[in-house]
This record gives sequence, C-alpha cells and structure tokens, in this order.
Amino acid sequence: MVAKKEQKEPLLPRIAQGETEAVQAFIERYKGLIWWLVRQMSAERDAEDAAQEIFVDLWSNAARYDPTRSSEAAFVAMVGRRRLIDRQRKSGRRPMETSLDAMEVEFAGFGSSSVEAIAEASLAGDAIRQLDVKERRVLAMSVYQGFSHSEIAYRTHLPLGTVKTYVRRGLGRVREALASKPISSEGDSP
Amino acid sequence: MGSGNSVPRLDALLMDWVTQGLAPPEEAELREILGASPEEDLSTFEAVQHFELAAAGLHLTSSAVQVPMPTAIEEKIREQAREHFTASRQDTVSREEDRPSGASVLTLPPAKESVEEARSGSFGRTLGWLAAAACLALAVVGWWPRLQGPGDPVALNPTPTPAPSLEERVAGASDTLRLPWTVTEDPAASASASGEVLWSTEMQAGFMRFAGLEANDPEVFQYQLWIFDEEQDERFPVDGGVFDLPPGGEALIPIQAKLNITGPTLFAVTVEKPGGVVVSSRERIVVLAQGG
Repeated sequence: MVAKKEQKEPLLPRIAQGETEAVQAFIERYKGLIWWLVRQMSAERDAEDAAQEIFVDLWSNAARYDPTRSSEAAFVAMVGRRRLIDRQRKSGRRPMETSLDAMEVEFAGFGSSSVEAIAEASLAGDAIRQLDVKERRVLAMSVYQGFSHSEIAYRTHLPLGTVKTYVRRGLGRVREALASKPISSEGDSP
Repeated sequence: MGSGNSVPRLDALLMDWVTQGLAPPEEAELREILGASPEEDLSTFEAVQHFELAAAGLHLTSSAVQVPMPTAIEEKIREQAREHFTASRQDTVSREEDRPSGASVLTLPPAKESVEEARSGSFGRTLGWLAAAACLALAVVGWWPRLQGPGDPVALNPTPTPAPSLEERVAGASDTLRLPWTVTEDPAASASASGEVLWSTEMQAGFMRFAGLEANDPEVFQYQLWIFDEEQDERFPVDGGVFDLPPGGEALIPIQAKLNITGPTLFAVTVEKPGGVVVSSRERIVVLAQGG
C-alpha cells in the first residue's frame, strides 16, 4: 500500500461530527481547488452558484469520505466534478471556452511539487506521461472541461471513434494506476 | 478509425458517464449491468467511483495552477456555512427533543374544514385542475434543470415550535395563501391523501398539512418541498426543506424556504434520497399546489 503523501489532517470527518472550526478550515484549504475546478468547467456567470453548491455537497456528504480509499483532496475534486458535470448536463450549457494551448499548459502542471504532494495527482501524472500529445489534449478537453466526444471531434477534426478511444484509454490508464497502488491514510500527520 | 471497442462495455459506459454523461438508453444499460434501480445514485457504486477518482486525479495534476477565489464569493460561502450548520444543529436539537415523545412531526387534529373546502369544487373543475396540474407538473419537470441557489440539502424535521403558534401566526397573516394539495399517481400518495399548504409571503413562513401520504423511513427516502416563485425563473424553484412523515394521523410540517419568496406560484413535494438533493431527478412528484 502506498502511503498518501498529503500531510494535512482530513477535515471532513470532523465536519461530519459537526465541528464548526473544521468547516472554516475546510473552506480555507479547498477554496483554491474548488474555484479552479469551477473555472475550468463552468461559465463565469455560473461560477458562484456552482462553487456554493459544491461546498454544500461536500458538507452534506462529509460522512461519506473514507480516508482509506482516497485523499481528501481527491474526494473534494471528485464531488466537485460530479456537481459541475451534473450542472452542465441539466442546464445544457456548454463549458467555458479555452484554447488548446492553454489546456496543454494546464496538463503541464502535473510535475510541480505541490501537486506531487497529493498521491492521486502523482499517480495520474505518471499515467498521462505515457500518452502522446494528441491523447493528452483530447483527455484534457473531456475531463477538464466536460466537452462531449462529439464536440471534441468537431474541434480537433479527429474521428469520433478516435476521440472515444483516446478518452477511454487515458482515463483507463489513470484508473489502473490508482487501483494498482491503493491510497492509504497511513502516514498522515495532523 | 479507432473505435474503442477493445474496452469492455461496462468500462466504456462508465468512462462515458464520468466524462460526458449518457443518453437515457445507455444509462439504462449501465444501470442494468450494475444492478441499479432508476432512482439509485450511481455515484454510490464502487465501479463508478473508480473512474470518478481517476478523473479527479487528473484534475489534481493541474491544481497547482490555481486561480484565487474572489473574496466576495469566499465570504458568501463562509456565511452559507454558518447558516448550513446552524440549521443542522437546530435539526439535531429538534430530533433530540422529539425523541422522548417518539414523534418526528407535530400531529394535529384533522382539518376537515379546510380539506373539505378544498375539495368542494365541482368534479369537472377538479378534473380540469388535475389536468392542468398534470400539465404543469410536466412543464415543471421539463423546466427543472437545476435547483435554486445553494440548495441546502439539510434534512429538516419540523422544529419544536408549538403548532398553535405557527398556525395562528401564518393563518392570521393578512396575505396568507391557503392551497389544497393535488395528489399525483406517485406510489407514496394514496387515493385518499389530502392536505394543504399555507404560506404568508409577508411573514416568509408557512406550513404544510398532510394526511394519507406514505410514512417514510428517513434512511430510505425523504420528502422535499420546492417553491416556484413569480420573481424567479421557473427553472429555478426554491428549496423549501426536507422532511419526514410519520405513520398515521395528520402531520404539520413547517416550510423552510432557503430564499426569499415574493409570490409563490406552485408548491411541489418530491421524494428524494435521504438528506434531500440539490438537483432533483424529478422522477417522483407526490403532491402539487398551484398558487396565484
């Protein structure tokens, strides 16, 4: 089992117990990550509502967080993504427009030391290093921004089947990487 | 052209679900493979979580490039947190105080007058209303892509506020709206189900009276009220609170509107998962009451 590199004490279990102080600390710790998610996957006019909904989701589901299964940051990102994709599906709104160059910059961020501190980011980073540039670009459009496969095919001029293959291959590799080295909360320090 | 056919069908469906969502037939196929009912939250399935976690991991690879959250929004979220957890604590107190009596809601004598009054219209008119309500329900479902604002999904049992006080204050307000429920064909509502909703915009308070609706196990499902307001886009009904109904008798449930209501046009009660939802599946609307 690979010890999680994140050194901060999880706050969600304390929030589940109703500790008010933990709630404010949670906002402080994850506001940047959540805002980053929101700005990647929402139109600007929806960002405030989306961020608020994500925090409510996290507080309401705090008891569901299992430190033996993922880092808290990954849980936050997972719940946040779920909410944002749900909003996109329900509203029929298209995700924010971002240039492909900008997305390449985003994926290039996986090597930084702050990101490496989160086990899932490190493993996912290793997995996507195995993909070629085109595959990473398609995966970024799909995962980061929630573009449908058809939209990606239209924007990249790639065949739809190729887009599906790239997305599934990339995501599959990341899933395998995470599954092969389960995250553990062992080693966490307050 | 690559097809991705080498990926097992379940994995392909899961990856599509996680990245772009599925069309109804594909979602039905995924649910069948997973053994999930149409109402079950797919995110509770481990297979789904694996792919969601993979996608989250990818997001984390880029999270070093963070954009600071605007201070004004952060402040709103902190305020929202205070309200959220205050409501949760009140709910806990309410549950604790309710426990000795074994009652999860306030019970009232039957309000025969109001219910009978509500049913006193001609059968034809009732049918017409039902038809209108059915159409309205369909419209509501169609125009319901998301729920209003923060959509606080705190489970709210009725507060221990003495019933006469709430009833008297709301019923005595100059602008009180008193509307009978129209029952749908949802399994939670029997043919004899009845009740009404009272709302005072001036007081920003109200309550719902129910009789004949199915008692719920809070571990299995809960009821949730949605309020459609004339000043709000129909797509964005206001969360009116999550509540439970006990077996037998009548129940009086205070309304917990999460936003200011200026002119309610429709009240709708849905069946939701425990704790309520921020975005309703709109699959189970139990009762409706049409406002002005």
